[in-house]
Order: sequence, then C-alpha cells, then structure tokens
Amino acid sequence: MSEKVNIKGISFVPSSDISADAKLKLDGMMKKKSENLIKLVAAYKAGTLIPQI
Amino acid sequence: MLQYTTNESNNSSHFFITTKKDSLHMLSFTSVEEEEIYFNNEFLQENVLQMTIARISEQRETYCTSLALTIKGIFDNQLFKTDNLVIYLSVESDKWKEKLITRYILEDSNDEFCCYSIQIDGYSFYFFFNRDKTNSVECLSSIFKYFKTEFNIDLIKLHKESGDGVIPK
Repeated sequence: MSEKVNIKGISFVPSSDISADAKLKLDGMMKKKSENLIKLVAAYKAGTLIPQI
Repeated sequence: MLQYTTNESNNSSHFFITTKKDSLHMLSFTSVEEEEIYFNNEFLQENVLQMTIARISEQRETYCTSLALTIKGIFDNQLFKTDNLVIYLSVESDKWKEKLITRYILEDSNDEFCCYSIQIDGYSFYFFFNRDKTNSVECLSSIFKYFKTEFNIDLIKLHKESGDGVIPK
C-alpha cells in the first residue's frame, strides 16, 4: 500500500484515557446523530424532503 | 463531477447526488441546534454547519472517486460563500463515511481547503474550513475549549509516527 502525505489536515487525540462520563456523553451525541440520519432518510423516502425542481 | 439536485431553505441545504450506477446519496448541511449539540462557545455555535452524509440506495457504491470529488465540490462552494464558516461532521471511525472523507481530502487540489480532525474512542470529528475565509487559530482554539469544557478532554496533536498527516491511498 502506497501512502500520500496529507498536508491539509491536522489530527488530534486525547492526551490521556477519557473518563466513563465523557464516553457516555460521546455515545449519546452519536446516537442522536444516528437518529437524525434515520429521520432524514425517512423524510426523503416519504417524499417530504425531495429535490426542488 | 456527478449530477446532483438540491433542496435549500434558510437553515438547511440538501444535495441529492446520483452516481453513474444510479446509487443515490444525500449530503445535508444544517445549522446546529443547541439541543442537539451545544458547543458552549460563540465561534463554533455561530459558524458551524453540521454535515450529514446518507446513502439512500441499498446499492453500495460509496468509494468511487467521482462521488468524493462531487461532495468536495459542494463543500468548497459552501465554505467559499461565508466568512468563518466551519463544516462539522462526526462519524464512526473506519466506516465507509470516514473512508469517503479521507478520499476527498486525498484527492483534493484546493490549497485553501483545510481540516482539523479529532479521533476519540472509535469516533472521528471533522471540522472543515477554507483557510482564506475562516480564522483557523480561533477555530482550533474553540475546538480545544469545546472538548475540554464539554468532555473534560485535553487534546494533543497526533504524532507523525502514529500516522499524523498520512492517509492510506
């Protein structure tokens, strides 16, 4: 596998292990995001969110 | 670039992209609602647009370069339109969406396009911006404050030997 240097992005990570409380909050936030995604797809399939002509 | 159609209103924009194999993807940009995400600082709360990528079709065709480039083209237009705009995306690490994102970063040729990514415990949080339009220092400082205040997480730059700045091709 070849690699290409990405000069556009800088990545960051936690400086130490995260707490159980932080993990819980992150999980909750991502769960909400996932629910919104399901609603978005459902809106398209139900015809309430469709491209404008 | 692939063909796409749109649905735009005051606080959201949706783009419907059809690939050459008729797989449909939706790219959505919405204002951040405090009840959904509270950044707890003015810069992010005022300037962030939250992005969502959804595959509508059952058919899996998410890795094609043209899709990545089309999404990136839509991105650039959004970022160029408004000063200090930051596009925020949260995804599970190592899933198709993250692979698509790394692809459009890799294939990108716009020098103004930049992103900060935060990797935490199986999740990836991306903050994209146009460095000529958005104050990158204030943006980074606000991101650090957000993770510290909201999650009590101090962030450090990922070291090069751990993969910083290198994306598999």
